[in-house]
Amino acid sequence: MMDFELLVDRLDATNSTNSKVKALETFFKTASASTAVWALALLSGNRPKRLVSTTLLKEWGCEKQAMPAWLMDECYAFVGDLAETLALLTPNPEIEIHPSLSILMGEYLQHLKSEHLPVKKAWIFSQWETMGPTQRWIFNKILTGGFRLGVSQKLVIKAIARVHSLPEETVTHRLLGKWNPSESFWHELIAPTMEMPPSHPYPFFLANTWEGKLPVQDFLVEWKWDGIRCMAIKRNNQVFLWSRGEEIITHQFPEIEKSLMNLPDGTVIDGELLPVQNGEVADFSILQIRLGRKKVSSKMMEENPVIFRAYDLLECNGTDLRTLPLLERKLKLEQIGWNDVSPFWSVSNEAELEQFRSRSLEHRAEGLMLKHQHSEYGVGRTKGSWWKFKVDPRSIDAVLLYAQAGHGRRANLFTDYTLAVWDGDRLLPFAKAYSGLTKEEIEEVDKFIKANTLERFGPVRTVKPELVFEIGFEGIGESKRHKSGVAVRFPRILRWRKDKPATEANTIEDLRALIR
Amino acid sequence: MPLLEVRSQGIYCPPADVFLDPHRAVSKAIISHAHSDHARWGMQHYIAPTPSVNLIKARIGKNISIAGFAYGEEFTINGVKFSFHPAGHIPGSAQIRVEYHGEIWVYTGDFKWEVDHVSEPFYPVTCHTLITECTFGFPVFQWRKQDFWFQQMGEWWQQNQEEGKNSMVLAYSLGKAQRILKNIPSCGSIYVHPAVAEMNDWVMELGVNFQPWKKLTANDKPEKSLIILPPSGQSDGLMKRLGEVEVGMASGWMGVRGKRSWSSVDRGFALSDHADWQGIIDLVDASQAETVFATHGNTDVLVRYLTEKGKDARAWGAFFEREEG
Repeated sequence: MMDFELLVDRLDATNSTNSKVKALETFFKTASASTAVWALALLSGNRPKRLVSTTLLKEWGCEKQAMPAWLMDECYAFVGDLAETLALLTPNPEIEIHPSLSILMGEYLQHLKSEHLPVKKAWIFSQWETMGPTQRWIFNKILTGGFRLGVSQKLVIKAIARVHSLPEETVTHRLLGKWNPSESFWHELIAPTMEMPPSHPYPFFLANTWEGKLPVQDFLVEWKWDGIRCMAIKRNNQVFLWSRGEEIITHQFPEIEKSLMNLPDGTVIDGELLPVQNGEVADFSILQIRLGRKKVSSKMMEENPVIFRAYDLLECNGTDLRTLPLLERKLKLEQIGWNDVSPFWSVSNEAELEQFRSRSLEHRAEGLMLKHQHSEYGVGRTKGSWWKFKVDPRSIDAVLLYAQAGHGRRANLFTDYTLAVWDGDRLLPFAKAYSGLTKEEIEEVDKFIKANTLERFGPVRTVKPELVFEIGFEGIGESKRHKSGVAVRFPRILRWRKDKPATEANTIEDLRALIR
Repeated sequence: MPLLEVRSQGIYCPPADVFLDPHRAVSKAIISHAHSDHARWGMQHYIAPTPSVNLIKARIGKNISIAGFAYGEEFTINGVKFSFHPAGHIPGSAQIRVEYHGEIWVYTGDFKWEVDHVSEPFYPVTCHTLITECTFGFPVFQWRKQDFWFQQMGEWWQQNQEEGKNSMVLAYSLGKAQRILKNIPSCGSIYVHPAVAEMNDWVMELGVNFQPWKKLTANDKPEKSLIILPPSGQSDGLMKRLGEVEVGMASGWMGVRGKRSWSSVDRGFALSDHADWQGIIDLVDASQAETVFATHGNTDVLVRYLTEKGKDARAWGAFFEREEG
């Protein structure tokens, strides 16, 4: 694992993107196919199932280090990451052995098949005994299934593309969907051309947040729907519905599957899966009900109907249209015969744009999309031609009630906050928020929490209700699961209201009033 | 009556009427070492190990009333016998041994076992009651030998040189800075922050030799050099002057990834001037103490661990909530 270890150390030792890409290139230039493909798998989150549960792994760690469970828990709470804790607790060997990553992963897969716990345990112990610190950390990260290194998949793709002189889009495309970290896959990945299976989607083109500054007349405007972005494919008389998360969700939505069958062969549509009720776009929570089910009854479909609203046409008659100007693709989309195409229009000035945006909520959209009329359908979040312009998030002033230490780099700092609004003279928790404060503010809040803890329940502390934060969120709905009766989507801290005493925070009535 | 006890001003010895490392002004203070969280301003009279007298004066003031005693030299206050013994933490650092009517207590101050070539080497002192620091009182801390870290630091410096960059190491101006200067393999010019330079001069007075180094002045424009400065010494102006620079930090906390990335330096070196977990346990054994008090750090973990091992162990109030590496 020497070469991969070196890569991890090098990635770890720098914050510069350039150095990271350089380190990746050096690695992919020299690594064998089997090691390269496993490294790619681990770096891009395509990892095998867990070999053992973390509970068991923790137990084994205690056994191996002859350590009581409470001490392990204390260490874990301090370090904030189980894999690292176990790596740090293991003594360094006299002589380190470095199996290649592919051999290690081969053994891993074999033990994955085995039902025999003592065999797994013996294997893990023998690895711990011979590995050095970095290696142990990598190994434990693989065991706990949380391998992350601060390199985006985009960076990895960039390095592979450079080393093998391929366009980045080609590599991105080939990596979509499910693949096995096998040598043969690696060869296909870096081959000059590759046959695609019919299910193969294109990479989604994503938008950045609108910054103004550009002439609005050059853009086509459409509603930004609040559903699940999907790509619908019909090829070889089969249909596939891909979610943005690169999952096939065709079978969760049989009614969509059925209507997609009416499309001509060789069609790919980019669109949005949306819940509807009485002919109007409905609350996102309905989609979540549908997503959770493997088997969908007709009653379920009737009670929670969904539609697929088309934005864009990427393939027509088997021809890739992505380099055509958007307006041309839109016109072709209207001729393809899909029953629900998202409307688009143009505006002549900023004021008009603002007018439309302010009406988003009436249309049950979360804002506007601005797409340059000549834009290609690009790859990923390339800045320039596609923009999103959401309605301002709604906000509420809430009181910090509970705090919990974060994980990873935020271990030892209280960064997970539970926030509450007033319900009479009681504080009612309604949301958890993690981010939004500066590093300095986080440290200041952390100090306050440590000095003003009222009670502790395990890792959670009840804090003197004094600090007020303005909490922004994207959406709000009724919820039976939450004590407060409301659920907010994407809550985050907008700012610390040092100017407000806790008594002036908002009430549950204020919060409920925001539900449309 | 216990020989040492916790008072709001710090550790107190009732029969001698003196405080050890007090954090509030008292009339008589015995000081373990010259770091500012142990040697504080405002005492009417200071008693310290001889090699740290000038270091303490440099930090607190030339005109303080201070008496020095050599390591192992005994001095008596109201019939209580005191002596200093090397703590290996930084130059001039000491453990404080207290004896009264045949009962012996030892307060470690901050200590480490590893010989760092700038501090007087540590040795354990036998006692009945041990008061040990436990800054790194978690088993996850197991230090690698300093040779390993200095090799890493040297290679890092060289790598940065090849890329035409300066290398900046953040390290405490007394102790860690001199340890780095003494041990890093030479590969170019070394600049130090004025605060470090002042401490260097005093440490050289103690007989420690260093490789060539220069005090960083406003006119210097270091290139491919190593710059040693305290964590608080980073300024925008300086960073601009240094151009392309990689920043490293030498501290025991760098052994944990979360701490490392939170500090937002490019590179962490887990080089500590404190004992690691095993180092604390080893001292507890070597001292043969029947009773152990833990202070400075996460005392609860160490106390529970020792209690389960059958020791009489107790936590002493966390006087000094801080993070020093």
